[in-house]
Amino acid sequence: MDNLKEYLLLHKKELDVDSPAADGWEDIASRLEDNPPTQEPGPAREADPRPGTEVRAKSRNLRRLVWYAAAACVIALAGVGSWLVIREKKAAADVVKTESAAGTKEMRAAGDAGAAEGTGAAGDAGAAGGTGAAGAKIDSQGAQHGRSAGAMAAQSPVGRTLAPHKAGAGHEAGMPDEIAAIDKSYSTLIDYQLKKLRAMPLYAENGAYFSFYVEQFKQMDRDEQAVRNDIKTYGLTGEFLEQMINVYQEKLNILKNLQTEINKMNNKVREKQSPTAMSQVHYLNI
Amino acid sequence: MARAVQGDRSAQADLYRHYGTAMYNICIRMTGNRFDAQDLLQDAFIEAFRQLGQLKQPAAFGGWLRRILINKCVQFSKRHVAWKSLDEDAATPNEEDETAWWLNIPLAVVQEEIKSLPGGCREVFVLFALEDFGHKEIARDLGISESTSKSQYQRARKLLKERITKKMYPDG
Repeated sequence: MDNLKEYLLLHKKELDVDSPAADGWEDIASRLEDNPPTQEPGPAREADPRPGTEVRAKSRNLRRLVWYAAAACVIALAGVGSWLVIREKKAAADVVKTESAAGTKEMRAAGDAGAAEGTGAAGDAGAAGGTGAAGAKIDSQGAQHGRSAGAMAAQSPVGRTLAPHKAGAGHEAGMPDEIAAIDKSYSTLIDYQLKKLRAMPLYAENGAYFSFYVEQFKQMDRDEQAVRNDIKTYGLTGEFLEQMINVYQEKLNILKNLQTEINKMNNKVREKQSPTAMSQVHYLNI
Repeated sequence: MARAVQGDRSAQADLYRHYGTAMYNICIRMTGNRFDAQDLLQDAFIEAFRQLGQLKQPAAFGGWLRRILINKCVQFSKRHVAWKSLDEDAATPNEEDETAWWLNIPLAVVQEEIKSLPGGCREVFVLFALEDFGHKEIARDLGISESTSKSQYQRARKLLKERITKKMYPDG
């Protein structure tokens, strides 16, 4: 005999680990009550015309249907959950790509603008930016700083962020989902960038040297709050959504430029290997 | 038994309690799901109680009930399984070459894996290995050829070994 068969036959009782439904006997008794026993062999279940059998069969089918419906609901919920998670991840990835591309363009544009204005345009840049403090601070190393500052100032933050953003026109459909995703993704990126900047050591100059960027960032905060208030008052429109996106993008640009500027400054100090400057470490309060 | 024949519900309930679990396990192995198993179990008991008067040897009730139940399971399988013959090579017995991989496997795991075997090979496996049917008898009852019965049995064995080994030793 087949060894496996022999083994299973020997342990057949131990295989019987499943138990019938607790109400199994009640169902049988009730079916027997509805259909008293006969001395003749009964017909097959399918051909049984007894009304009680029909009711029982329907009850069983209903129970089965409920069980399948519950299982389908669980599967559907799991599917929706997975879809939401995937969509969120995808949205975040898209934002990173957009931000990265925009950042590269901004850097190139800043460089071009700075070159066009000339390296000595730091004072003008400060004045154009309306802060004054940045222009006053920039002196000996103002050439490098001025290039970026000039580029920043040339792009009026409020005007630029509130201007219609053609790329954002496609956000009309499914707006509530979009704004939630954008909000979350941008906030995460901005928070990450801020943390990074706060942790960066500043050699030679203290945080006030970069106050121009800090002021710009604060201005963007105010703009963001204004757009949020408008959305609360007038409801969410395509225009407000675009403005919100622009504010976020502008914030990211400012932080990116600030990071570049700090890096430049630190690199110069490192190149000069000035022990005094290296010993004076400051951190940005933003 | 005499009282059960007279229609005494409590005596019938005793019989159900005594044989119910074993019969239900045959059903669930044959059908692979508890709904159909429960339905077939109820149908078998009802038919048995309705025809109890025909049973000449009360002591044979267990075997008689089992036969009714297996007939019901077989009828059910014939309606629900699309039978196909497998490669003849698969039917070649190879158990002599095989180590007794099943010896240290918990029987609850074996039961679980039997229930999840694909329809067709599951029924053949249960009838052959657990209900001690021959392939000729299985072929006759299920309306398939003897070689199909053999090949389906070998397929079930192979699947059981693969799945149980994977479950018990996931890291190989």
